[in-house]
Amino acid sequence: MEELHRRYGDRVEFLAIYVREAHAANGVWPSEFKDRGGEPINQPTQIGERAEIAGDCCQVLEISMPLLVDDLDDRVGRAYSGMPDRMYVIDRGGQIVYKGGRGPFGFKPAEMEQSLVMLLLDTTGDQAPAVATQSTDGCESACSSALNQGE
Amino acid sequence: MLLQTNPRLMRKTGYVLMAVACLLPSAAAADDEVPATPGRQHRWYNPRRYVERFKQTADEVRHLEIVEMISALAHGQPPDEGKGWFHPGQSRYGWQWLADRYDRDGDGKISSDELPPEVAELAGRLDRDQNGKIEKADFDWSSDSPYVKQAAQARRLFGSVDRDRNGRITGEEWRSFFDRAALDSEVLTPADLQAALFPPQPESSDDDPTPIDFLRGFASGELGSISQGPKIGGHAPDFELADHQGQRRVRLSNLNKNKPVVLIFGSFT
Repeated sequence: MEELHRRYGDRVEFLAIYVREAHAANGVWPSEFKDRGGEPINQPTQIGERAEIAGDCCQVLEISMPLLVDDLDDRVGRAYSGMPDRMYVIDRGGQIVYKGGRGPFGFKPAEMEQSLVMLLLDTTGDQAPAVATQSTDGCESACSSALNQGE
Repeated sequence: MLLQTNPRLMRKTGYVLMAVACLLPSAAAADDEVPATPGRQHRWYNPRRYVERFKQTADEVRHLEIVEMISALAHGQPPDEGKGWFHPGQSRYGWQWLADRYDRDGDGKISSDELPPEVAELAGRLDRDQNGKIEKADFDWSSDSPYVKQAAQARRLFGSVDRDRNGRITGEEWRSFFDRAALDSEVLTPADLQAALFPPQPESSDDDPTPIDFLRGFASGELGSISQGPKIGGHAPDFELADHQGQRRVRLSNLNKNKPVVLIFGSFT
């Protein structure tokens, strides 16, 4: 994912959205996972707590795209059917161009990249006038268990 | 919401849904389009009207992803690619779109001389196996694709070596894998390597989630969302969220004015 962000980041906005933990220690299907100092990850019950875990995740996986934290009711995750993980490509008109399958099996960054490339090929020549967009720096960023799978 | 807060009700609903799913044939087709109502000419007193309405409703229910998933669980299929609600990715674009645009000689392959120079580098990314031509096979993401099989093997090796699972292998991790695979020996034999890469699968244990656990996981959203999300060509629902440091709020429709957006949903575990 990081490689894709580096490759297309100047032409495409990448947003990671941190949603409900899939394998929280106090969840339905706990799994000891990921290096968080050996500390178990419980399902956050406060938005601040969720943001903190998201931040840890970002550091461990060294991810550089903006990391947004979904509300505790997972309103964005639900609207996009984003749990446990999933990817979308959206064009400048706000239309869905690519909808990945449900994670973990459907999480295929290279498949997403093909749709992204074809979208860029389709719109080459009619780019919007360049408008400076805010950029974030460093590790205020994003994360997904999925982000370190796949290419 | 109601299901989430009341486990008993949720469990009962689960049983009912499961019963419905059992009655319906398994492996419902992944067709999102619901057929138009036939027989609009039937009057209210005509029983056929109700039979057709019932059939149509049954069809709609069977095509709901949650029903597909519960049906798969009820038929004893563990969650896996292509089973239940794990459908392939969908896209506005594909091989045919590309071929119509660039395959000038119509031979089913797009070679580099068929690509305009200004897009050659970008389009070259579509040549997944880097064999010098873009072809239909480069767009096959099913588990039957040789490329996908290779990638799965490579990922397996990677996963065995990347001990801290951070998506990067250090020299130290690589050497540590060698030591583990070679056991007490100085060298690694093909059998050692195979044993290290493909350890015996653990027997299923009591800790494995039961179908009821899955239902609870679906109701809470942990193991997947009951909602199905927007369709290809549909409008992306707008949202505004803060970043994890609480310093910046991002609204999709603002970012989306000037550039395409890639959304990546995920969590730590």
